[in-house]
Amino acid sequence: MNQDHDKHEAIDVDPQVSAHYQSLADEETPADLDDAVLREAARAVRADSRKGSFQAWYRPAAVMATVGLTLAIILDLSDPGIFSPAADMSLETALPVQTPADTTADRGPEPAQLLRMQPDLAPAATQPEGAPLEDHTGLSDVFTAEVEREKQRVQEMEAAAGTALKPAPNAAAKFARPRPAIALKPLLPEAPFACSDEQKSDVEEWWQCIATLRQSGQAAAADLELDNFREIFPDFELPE
Amino acid sequence: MPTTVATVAREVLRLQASLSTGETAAYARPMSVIPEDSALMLRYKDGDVTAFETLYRRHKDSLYRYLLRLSQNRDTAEDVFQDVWGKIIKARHRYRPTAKFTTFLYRVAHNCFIDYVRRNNRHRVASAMDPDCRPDPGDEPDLEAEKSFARQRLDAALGTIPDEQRDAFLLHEEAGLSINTIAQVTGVNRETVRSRLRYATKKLKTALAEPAVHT
Repeated sequence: MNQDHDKHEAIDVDPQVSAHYQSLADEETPADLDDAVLREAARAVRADSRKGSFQAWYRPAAVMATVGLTLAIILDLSDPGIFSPAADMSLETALPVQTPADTTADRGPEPAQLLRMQPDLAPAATQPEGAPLEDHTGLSDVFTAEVEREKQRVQEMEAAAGTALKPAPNAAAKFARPRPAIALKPLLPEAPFACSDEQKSDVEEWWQCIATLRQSGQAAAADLELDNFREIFPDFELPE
Repeated sequence: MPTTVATVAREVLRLQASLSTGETAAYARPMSVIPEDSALMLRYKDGDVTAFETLYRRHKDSLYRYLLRLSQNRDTAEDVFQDVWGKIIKARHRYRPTAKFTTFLYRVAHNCFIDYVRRNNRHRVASAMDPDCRPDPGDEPDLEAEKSFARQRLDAALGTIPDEQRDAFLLHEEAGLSINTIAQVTGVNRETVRSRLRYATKKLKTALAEPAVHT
């Protein structure tokens, strides 16, 4: 009823212009356009009927697949496996409380062990010296506190002796934070590392190895070993 | 609106009755009863392609002329025309007879045209309308030539008025929409539509009143 009322209201169009337009505007759509539209309309209806039968089975199958995949992911994540490196570590083994005179018995994770870890975490190799690394164990706060205490103790001893103390054997190992494996740079394919693992297990021996390489003219090998050394022992005070 | 809803309800009841009596042609009805556009669209929604065909043939020419004179370009008109019907076809499942079908159709057409112009970002070039869509002149070729010339003058006159005024004029003339409906379709208020129609008509009258120059 509202629309009928609209039709009879005054419209601001000149009736002569309107009549003139109506007499001339008689174009029709091209036949090919009609065919295209009607074909599309028929195709849409056919697609509807096909979709109906398809939907009868694919929807339940999709739901089952989603539920199965979700369960698989949940179960996989709940399994400790290799994705929780802290699972096998205890505080006692990870936090060696040592004095400068400590022997090798109570050392923390050996540098050589760290070197043997997966060597594909390159970002650790570019960390600025002393910068905190990514904590994969969840124990970085504890380690940091221990390292700070050890540093303070060394400084006190230096002040008391009045001379710069050489870091005690294996003392620098205490400064070696458990780090993620680094990208080591092999020197030669047949001799990947100039210093042996045994040498690298002791900071003094490793340092001595580097010095020997440099004295024997293998500067490149010495530099590479030094880079690796610094990664493992960033707090080690290098002698002049 | 109540008329449309009542008609649709009648259709539904009639369908139920015909199905219960076992009539094979559920949609068969006497020639005197012309199905409303909304009813045809609802039937197409249910899968009746012939209903769409009826609906299409009822509105195709006026929609085509609307787009042809709005764009002043045949290719644009054909592209947008296909676009519009494509959208109508895709929207069939969501179609609700809340307004007249022509309001729905021309709202889609108006928006499709605006989108097309924005997408293509080109100036519409007025092109002479090809005579290939004209009805058969029959035995009066001179009359048809005269008419063709007059049509060209009309198209040229329409080309001189602003787009919004031309749009309002064509919605009124081709779609037969009321001022309120034109306002709904174009998204402006009623007074703006009235003013556009007045100006459009005035300019067309002036342009058409000028002496024709036969070339």
